[in-house]
Amino acid sequence: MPDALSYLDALKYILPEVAVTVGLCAVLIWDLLPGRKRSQEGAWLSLGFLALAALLLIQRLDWREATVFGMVRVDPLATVFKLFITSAVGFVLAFDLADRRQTGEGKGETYFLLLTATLGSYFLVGTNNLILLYLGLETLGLSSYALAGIHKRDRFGAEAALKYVVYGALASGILLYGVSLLYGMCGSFEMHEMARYLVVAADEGRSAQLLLPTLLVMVGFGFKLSLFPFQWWAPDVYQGVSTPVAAFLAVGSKGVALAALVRFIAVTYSGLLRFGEGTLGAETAFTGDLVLLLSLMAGATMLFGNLAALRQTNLKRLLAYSSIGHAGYILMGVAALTEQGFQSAVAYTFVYYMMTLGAFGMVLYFANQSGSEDISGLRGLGLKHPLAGVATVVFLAGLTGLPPTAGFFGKWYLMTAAWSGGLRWLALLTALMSVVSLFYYFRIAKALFLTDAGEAAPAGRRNPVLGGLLALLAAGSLFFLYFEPLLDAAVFSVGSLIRW
Amino acid sequence: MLLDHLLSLITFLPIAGMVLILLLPKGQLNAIRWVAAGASGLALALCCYLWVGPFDPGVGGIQLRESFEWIPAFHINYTLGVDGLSLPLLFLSALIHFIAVFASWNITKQAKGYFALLMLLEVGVNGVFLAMDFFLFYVFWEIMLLPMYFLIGIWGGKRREYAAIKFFLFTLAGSVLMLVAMVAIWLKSGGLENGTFDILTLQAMAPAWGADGTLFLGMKFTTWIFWFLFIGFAIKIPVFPFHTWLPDAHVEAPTPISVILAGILLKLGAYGMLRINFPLAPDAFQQFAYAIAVLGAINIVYGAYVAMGQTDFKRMVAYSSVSHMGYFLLGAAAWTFTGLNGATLQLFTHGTSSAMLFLIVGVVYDRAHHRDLNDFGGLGKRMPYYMGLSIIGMFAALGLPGLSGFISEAMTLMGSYEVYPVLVIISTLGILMTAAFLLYAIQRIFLGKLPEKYENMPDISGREAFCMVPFAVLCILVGILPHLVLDKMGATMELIREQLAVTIGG
Repeated sequence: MPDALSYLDALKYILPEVAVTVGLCAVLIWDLLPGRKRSQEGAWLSLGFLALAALLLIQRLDWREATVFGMVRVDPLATVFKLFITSAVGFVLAFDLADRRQTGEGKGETYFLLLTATLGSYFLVGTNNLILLYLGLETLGLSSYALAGIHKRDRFGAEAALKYVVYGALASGILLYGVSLLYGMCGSFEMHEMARYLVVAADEGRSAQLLLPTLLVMVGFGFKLSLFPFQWWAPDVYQGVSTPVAAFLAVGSKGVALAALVRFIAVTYSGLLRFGEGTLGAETAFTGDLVLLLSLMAGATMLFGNLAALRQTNLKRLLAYSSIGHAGYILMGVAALTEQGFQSAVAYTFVYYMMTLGAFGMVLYFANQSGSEDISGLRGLGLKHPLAGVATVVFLAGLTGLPPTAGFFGKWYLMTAAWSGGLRWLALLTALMSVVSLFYYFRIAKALFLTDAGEAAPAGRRNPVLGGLLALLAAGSLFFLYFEPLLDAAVFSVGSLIRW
Repeated sequence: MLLDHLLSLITFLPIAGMVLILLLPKGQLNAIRWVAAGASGLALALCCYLWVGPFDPGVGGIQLRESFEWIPAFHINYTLGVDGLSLPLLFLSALIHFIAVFASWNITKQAKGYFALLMLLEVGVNGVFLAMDFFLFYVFWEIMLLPMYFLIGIWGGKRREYAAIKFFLFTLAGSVLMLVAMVAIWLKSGGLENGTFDILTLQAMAPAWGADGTLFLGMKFTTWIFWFLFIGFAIKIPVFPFHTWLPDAHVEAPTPISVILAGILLKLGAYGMLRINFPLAPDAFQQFAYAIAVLGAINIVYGAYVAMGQTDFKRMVAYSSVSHMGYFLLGAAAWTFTGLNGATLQLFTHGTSSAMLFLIVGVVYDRAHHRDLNDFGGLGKRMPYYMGLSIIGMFAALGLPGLSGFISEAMTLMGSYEVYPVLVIISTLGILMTAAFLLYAIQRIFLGKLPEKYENMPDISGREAFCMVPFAVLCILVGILPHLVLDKMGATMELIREQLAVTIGG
């Protein structure tokens, strides 16, 4: 590896990681200090460190790409997705704060765990080394399991945490096995070193030998991204954990896993992909197998997620199935195995981030009003809380993919990428699934606005903080007038993978 | 300055109205109404100015074009333009939305939200008629869905939730087919490298796609996009067998929304066919024109036949719309000069007469709180002004010579007779049936004995008359002087017909 970087220069590259590490220690110690503390102080402390990390990351956006300490890769994809997870955790913390103001519940350790998950995510997205990738994935995973279990409100919470741990441990074990097979074949954990070997293997027609480790690794990613058939945990877990944690799992955890998947596929198989001119790309039999594997997974995931969501009555369960469906859409972009496909998947992840965070924020907002997380609890609340109600409609329209929301543009990009990558049937399926999803998303809108509240409707205090957050996310979801920057971010982050 | 952005102003003035309405306090009912009336009235005034002023009827192509880059990475532009096809429909849209504000005067439930959504709806409709970029067209097309869903769903009748989601699902199903076709067309035109959404450029490219004989799943590219687009637009018109959402939506929607739905939303599908569907797949159009004409004839006869059997006044009018939109299909499928002119004029005349019919239903429903035709009678004596206006509207709808419906239907039938003689003869059955159900309705409402409970029914108010008179005037005016509209359309119709050099019926 080229490295004229001095130790101090290298350290500068990982200052954001350092900031988060210091932050999580500080939060932990603060929690242990004697004296009466309000739990909100820990949240503010965490937000402060996250803001610091975000500032450092923004500064690093235009730095020269580098691999520091042999393993940590600092490139646009890494930095953009580190910003992604930082801001997502920021939103989750803000949700949590707003929730505590209303309900007075909550535990201090949440902040420590969220920061640990952030740190794990940083390593997950910022490495070309499969060992560090695995470590990042586990750090993220372990803190997520703890986050799921921390909220011991009822039996569902405990059940959710247990399910999550058992499935998660199995999936990451299988992923590790796949990594070890790849290492056995290639003699390296570095993705681009592997790429050289894999080109040779594929040219020799050893497709099956390549497919097995790929399948095993996809199990690990499939679990994190809740892709069919590894999605079974998601509905139970989302329903059992607190709403901010569910939002974190649906948005933060999924987003970084997607980034890692894109990097893994784009770099490890870079010799086999259908990139444009000036790249290593050469189509082989294995490329076809990979496309088939990913596109079948994508198709099955969107079918399952959308059809299963039709009959849900619990909002968080419904959003869990909807997030499964969206994972299918995102994977469709990856499955095309083209530069455009990766860009569209990344762009859609940004869009998904705003809409889904907003949707979970909506659940939190209205559950505080009605005391119920069921659709029926929303009856008539939209008219009483017009701001949150309208914001919700924006999220729902975005999730359905209706213009003029960013959700539409994101879906449009995914569909064109899939179509031009030869996956016409997937593009068509996406279109049909959008119609199906309208039916269940607009049951929420129907409950909010169309159904009369009746006499039992609670008066409910307004929650201005959460209302403000929802408005912010809704404005983000209406990205249509300036979709260009979002697109630029996707092009920017994927570009470095392909032309390294 | 004004001229440079006239079309954008017409499109987005209602948005300004919407923002103002949202800023007003909830209780200021009158202020909200007048802001809505002002915004839509201003848009109407600009349309009138466009009609008499800058629009040049001698030019067949797009006029007053405005264009700038929107999303350059995808070659998406914000392009607006107007021609003889869109001008009459744009005018109709502005008029109907303006009238709808006054027809909504007595809506007090969540009035702020209602009028805001009404304004948003107008933006979508006006935008569709003016967009000359396919992507922009689609965005405007979809913008209409949300307001319409809530307008039916919150302010509708008893089964409003069912009707609203049914409308939404049907239309979205059509839209996504259009979306898939749009993806395919864009990639065909060059995709990321040099693709385009400009409708005129795409129209120029289309014949080359037709010449490409590569099959995909047994059908040619143009055949695929033709049917995807056709179903998308057919659901909106609605064409049999996609029409089932319409009666439900109409019956449950509040009067002003029915007026908008019948008066202008149905025309969007027809407009889309002439602007996008047929020109982008000319060879498929030529191949399937007969099938479309058959669908048109089915619409005419089936719609009228079902309307005859209705006892709900509003349901009857809804089915009459299905019947009348069939004339458009028949005339357009013939692709003769007379047929096309007649079909487009039919959109305009049906817009005025059906809007009027729904206002007529609304008047009697507001007073009697039901719409059962068999329960009325003798109202002519109590409500002479109402009867007079109703008869103008109904006779215009049934095609009485001297009123607007006659001209457009006659032109459509004459224009298509040379191509589809048998279908035209069958379709005349529809005229008979239309006359039958409308006259029978007149008899049951206005003639006979007045039931005691309606002894004190008041005649129409000034506001109601104000809503109906403009349409009555248009019905008579276009019936006597059809060239007022036809002159604006002629050059464009000729151009459209010639550009799409297809021969039908050979």
